[in-house]
Amino acid sequence: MKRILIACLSILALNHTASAQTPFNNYTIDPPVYTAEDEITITVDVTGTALQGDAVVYIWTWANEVNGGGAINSIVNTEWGNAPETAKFTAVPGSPNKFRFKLTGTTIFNLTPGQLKHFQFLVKSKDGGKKTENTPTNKFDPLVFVPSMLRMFPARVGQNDVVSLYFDQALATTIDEQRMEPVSVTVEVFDNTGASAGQPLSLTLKNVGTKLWKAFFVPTRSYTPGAGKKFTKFTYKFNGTVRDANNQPVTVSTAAVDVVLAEMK
Amino acid sequence: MKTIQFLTILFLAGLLFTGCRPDGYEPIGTVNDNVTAISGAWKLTKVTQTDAESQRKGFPYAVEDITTLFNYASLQLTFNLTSGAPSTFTINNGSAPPITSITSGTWSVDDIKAPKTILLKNGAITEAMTLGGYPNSVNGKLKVKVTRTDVATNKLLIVYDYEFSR
Repeated sequence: MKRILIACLSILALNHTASAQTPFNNYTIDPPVYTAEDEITITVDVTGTALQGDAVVYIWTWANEVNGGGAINSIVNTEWGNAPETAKFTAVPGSPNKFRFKLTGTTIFNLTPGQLKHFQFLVKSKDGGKKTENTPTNKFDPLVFVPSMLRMFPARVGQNDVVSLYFDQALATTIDEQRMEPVSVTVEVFDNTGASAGQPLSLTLKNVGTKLWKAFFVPTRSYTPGAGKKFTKFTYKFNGTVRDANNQPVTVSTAAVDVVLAEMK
Repeated sequence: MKTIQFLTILFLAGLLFTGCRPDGYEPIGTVNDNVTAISGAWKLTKVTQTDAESQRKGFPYAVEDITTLFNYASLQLTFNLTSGAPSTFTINNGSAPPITSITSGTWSVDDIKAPKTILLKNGAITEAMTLGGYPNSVNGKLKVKVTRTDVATNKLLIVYDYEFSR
């Protein structure tokens, strides 16, 4: 009995270790923001993975998986042990271990833009004997408007643009977000080296409607990029207070949102 | 008698035919000097921001009036003329966010008689403003549009509409 219990626990531990693998992150998508109707180019670097040194690699990609369920396979996921030619990456000339793959969401997943939320992929050998870990989810820019608690206006901005951040409490789903008395929004700006631009901003909120709050800023008005650098990303979260059991104010925040800044001309 | 009638009809027909000539129209007043109308000092009175992608997709929240977010009224734009032709410009941002990346240099227009685009130049940097309408005695406002396009996708993302008054 004891042995069976140890064996079960070992299997569970192994399973947990396997599922806690670091996602495969060594890839870029061009353009960085895309809808399900846009053709995108995925460039992967398999250095340091089981596929390092392979001349031919294949994609295995799926859409809309949430918590391990609901995945929709792409049309190139025909057979794990025998990848088709349509799933083959193109080698980047002069760059061993680097490969490119072009896809359009609506075509490869055979879904409408409204049905596609995000996708993931992994890189594998033809027979599936070697593979990378799964990538994190890659979001499609929506083609249909979906109301959300946190909204930015305009939806895509550059480092010199006026950015308005909205908190629509009527669309809050967690108890803290529903109950909070909104006070501020924290904004942290990052440059193209990944370095923070400085002390995060704490912007005061303005009530602009029923349960609707707003703050605004211009990245380059608050910070100056270093020589030869530019701002490429910022994160924001709304903060507020709720009352605890003793009626004392407790600070709570929404989850932070990452925003990629576009390079404008 | 018949000959006289025939000749009379022929004469009248000829008279009618030669009389059907288009009239030449006299010019109505002097031609507008739009470049002079654009020139001079202007103060920013209204700023509108348009999310071009949201507008294209038919989403709500496509346009916002952002005039009151910053002290845009402190921004002054001056177009100078030399011998009636565009020469230099200056933009004093005051305490407002910049509306272009350059604040001085030379300006030119795409068509001197009917300009649609104002080009601001400083060294290697050139920025374009699209004219919304010419200031005149009825509507003395200068309206220009500045666009922001994504370098990666070449998609128009944001449009700023600026309205200036003397």
